[in-house]
Amino acid sequence: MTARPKAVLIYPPLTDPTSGYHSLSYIDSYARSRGYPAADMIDANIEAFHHSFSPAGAAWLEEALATPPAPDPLAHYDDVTWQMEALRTAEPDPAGVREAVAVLQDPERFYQYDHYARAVEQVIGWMNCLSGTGFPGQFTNGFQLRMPPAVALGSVAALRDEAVLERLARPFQPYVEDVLIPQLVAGDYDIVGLNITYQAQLPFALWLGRLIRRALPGVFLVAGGTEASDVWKYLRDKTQMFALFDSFDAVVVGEGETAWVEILESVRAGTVPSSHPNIRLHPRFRAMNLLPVRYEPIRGLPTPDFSRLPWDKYLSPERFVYYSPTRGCYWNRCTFCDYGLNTDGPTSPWRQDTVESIITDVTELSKFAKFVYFSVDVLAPATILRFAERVLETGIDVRWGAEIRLEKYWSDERCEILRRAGCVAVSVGFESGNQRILDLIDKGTRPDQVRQTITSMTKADIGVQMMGFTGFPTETAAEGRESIDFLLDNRDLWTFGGLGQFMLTSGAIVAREPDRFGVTNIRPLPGSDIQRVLLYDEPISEGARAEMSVAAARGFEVPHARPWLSSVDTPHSFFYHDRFGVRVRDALDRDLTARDDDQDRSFVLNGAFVDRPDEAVVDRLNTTYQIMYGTPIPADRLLFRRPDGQITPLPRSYLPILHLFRQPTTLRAAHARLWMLDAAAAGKVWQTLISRRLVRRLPEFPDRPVPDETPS
Amino acid sequence: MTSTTTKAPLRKIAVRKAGTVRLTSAAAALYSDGCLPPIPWPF
Ligand code: B12
Ligand code: SF4
Repeated sequence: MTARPKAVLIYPPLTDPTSGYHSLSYIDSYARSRGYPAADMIDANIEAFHHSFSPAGAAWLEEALATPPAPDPLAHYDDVTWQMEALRTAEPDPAGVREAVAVLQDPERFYQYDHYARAVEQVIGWMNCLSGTGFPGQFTNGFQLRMPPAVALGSVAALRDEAVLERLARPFQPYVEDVLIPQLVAGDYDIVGLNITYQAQLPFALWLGRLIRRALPGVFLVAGGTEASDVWKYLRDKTQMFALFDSFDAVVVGEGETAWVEILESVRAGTVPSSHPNIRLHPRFRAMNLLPVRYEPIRGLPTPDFSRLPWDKYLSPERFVYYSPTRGCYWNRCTFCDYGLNTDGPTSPWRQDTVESIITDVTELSKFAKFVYFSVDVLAPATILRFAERVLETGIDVRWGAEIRLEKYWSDERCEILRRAGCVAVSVGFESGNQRILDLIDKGTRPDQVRQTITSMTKADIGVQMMGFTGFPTETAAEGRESIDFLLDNRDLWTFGGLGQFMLTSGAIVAREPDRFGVTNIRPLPGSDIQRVLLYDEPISEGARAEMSVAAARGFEVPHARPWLSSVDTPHSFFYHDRFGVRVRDALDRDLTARDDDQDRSFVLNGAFVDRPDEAVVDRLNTTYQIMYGTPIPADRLLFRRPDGQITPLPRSYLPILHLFRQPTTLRAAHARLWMLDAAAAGKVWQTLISRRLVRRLPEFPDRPVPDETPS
Repeated sequence: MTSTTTKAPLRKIAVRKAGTVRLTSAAAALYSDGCLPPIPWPF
């Protein structure tokens, strides 16, 4: 007999395909420790991706792309946008994406950047094709979602519009209709739980909710996660919550362990889970709850069990699990911060588990996965140090990373202990290189001391991934430049990262005490019901904004802006740090450089020339190009498209050069044909082609026929 | 060469002179190989 209640927990798209998220393992492991049966777990994000290049998925895609797109339900995208989409999209290549997956899962080829970069390009190229069945441009850089403006703004009307949801989710329709829904029906479940961690998952989750409700009318359907909580936090009119989540019975706001158990218990008992403060029930239960959320005492949580995730499907050569033994932030003072499951402070209240139970958990987890990422707001310095010492004492073999604050505490000796205990890289918010801004932020740090800390980390061979931002209220252009300079002047002391731009959110201290920051006229973005970001007036930072955004974008653009599939400091970044240490960028550069031993190696064209589009399309492309580079795309340039859809405008003189690489050709042979170039000029050309991956090295790649991407 | 060490000073120039107009010439210097930077998508 089936143990009841029977539950299934689902991660909807669109999120990181390189590892499984952990929140559902947390609530499931907790429920099991309280005697409930284990839930089934489906990572619909990774399953839908794999299904898309199965024979059935690929056949569907080909047909979908051959049919002219149905009218845009939002009437937002014009023909020019569709032409741009066509420009970046090549023919779907299911064999190519399968090969890419094999490379990303291969513990050898993964670490050869040539192979890695090609695999990433192929995955992105494939996602571009899928994108063409939804809204134009909706998948960017692979697994990032560019939502239509009304959806991004959080318009309840747009998010309730079935035609909009369906269109956005169309790339995953075959998987959901042919696999997921039948699987759920066959599963005979009492409860379906959806995780919504990121905003990019919300529209897919709402759409799935509707399909699940239709297929399983009697099931108890519940959502939870940081994005579900953000919707509640930022929704101007809370009564709209279930206008949005109308197919759901409940949404868990805040942490979920005990709330999930209450749901399991009441479904088992046939009652309504109405007493837990974190459970928001659909109004039809007539149990409106506006109680403040409850935070879990995290001591005593069981070790999360990750064995129910589909590990053979993630696009990684190693297992990488997320582990959260602290919640909230011990500092909890930064005036811009409005983080995660917080309510009345920058983050949720600070809690941490004991070092001994962290050691017990990590001992367990290290048997399952080589990498454990401390998925937390922050780790406290003394706790990490003690943890590291205990790892050394107990001899646990594990690689790990975490987000930390840049405290003075981190001396050379202490960093050395972290590294010996398996710490590979840390992520840090340095925020700004200017003392006045750091003080306004209440960061509690000084640039010279930050430099000292990252020097100690780097000396110990721990990669530092830096995050900061410009545009804090009252920041002048000169102050903003100090942040850029800080990063560039200390380029050897951090590996990856960059600068974002300040955005005001309603839970930040800046929004609560605007006078202190010269901020006036705080208002929502027009058309937004979920008011995540606020507009405001503050003339000084506003005056510097245009310059800052261009400067930051330009300064950090080449050549490592987006080296990984997904964002900075996700699993791939850690794998590379582990393999190559703080010299990790050299490992990338090695393959992005024309080397001496390349002379007799074959290269082949990595992409194809595409016809110059209509002037209306060029005009549109020029809008961003002009802002970024101060010049329009010259009229005489040829456009070359890489497999990932990246388009580079090339001088005509590149046409005969690139033509040489239609067939595999060594640099020596190519140079013999380009006799008019002297060695130095040829070297420069090779460098351009290789560093921008307009050609790629061949012999190391598995034997596949070279596609005939002959330029016309 | 695209080694980090030689790229860094170039980038520093690009950013140091950050006024939008001066940036243009710095950007041009960065792309003196005659090949322009890839097109950012304005979707
Ligand atoms: C660590 C962290 C990261 C790490 C690791 C993330 C990961 N594991 O994938 C890194 C650095 C890689 C990262 C990256 C990003 N992050 Co992040 N991250 C966090 C952080 C600090 C902690 C998340 C965590 O591990 N919590 C612990 C787990 C156990 O808790 P949980 O996921 O909330 O789950 C609990 C409840 O939500 C609930 N629950 C969850 N699901 C369900 C389902 C059901 C049915 C029920 C009943 C309950 C329930 O129960 C769980 C147990 O209590 C949060 C902030 C925060 N404190 O929440 C931001 C946060 C999740 N990140 C955020 C963002 C924006 C990003 C990035 C997009 C940033 C960027 N622009 O690049 C990237 C995306 C990376 C990607 N995956 O593609 C936002 C998401 C906001 C949003 N609404 O979209 C958050 C909330 C921060 C913020 N701004 O407030 N992040
Ligand atoms: S920005 Fe970081 S250090 Fe500051 S309060 Fe938020 S989580 Fe804590």
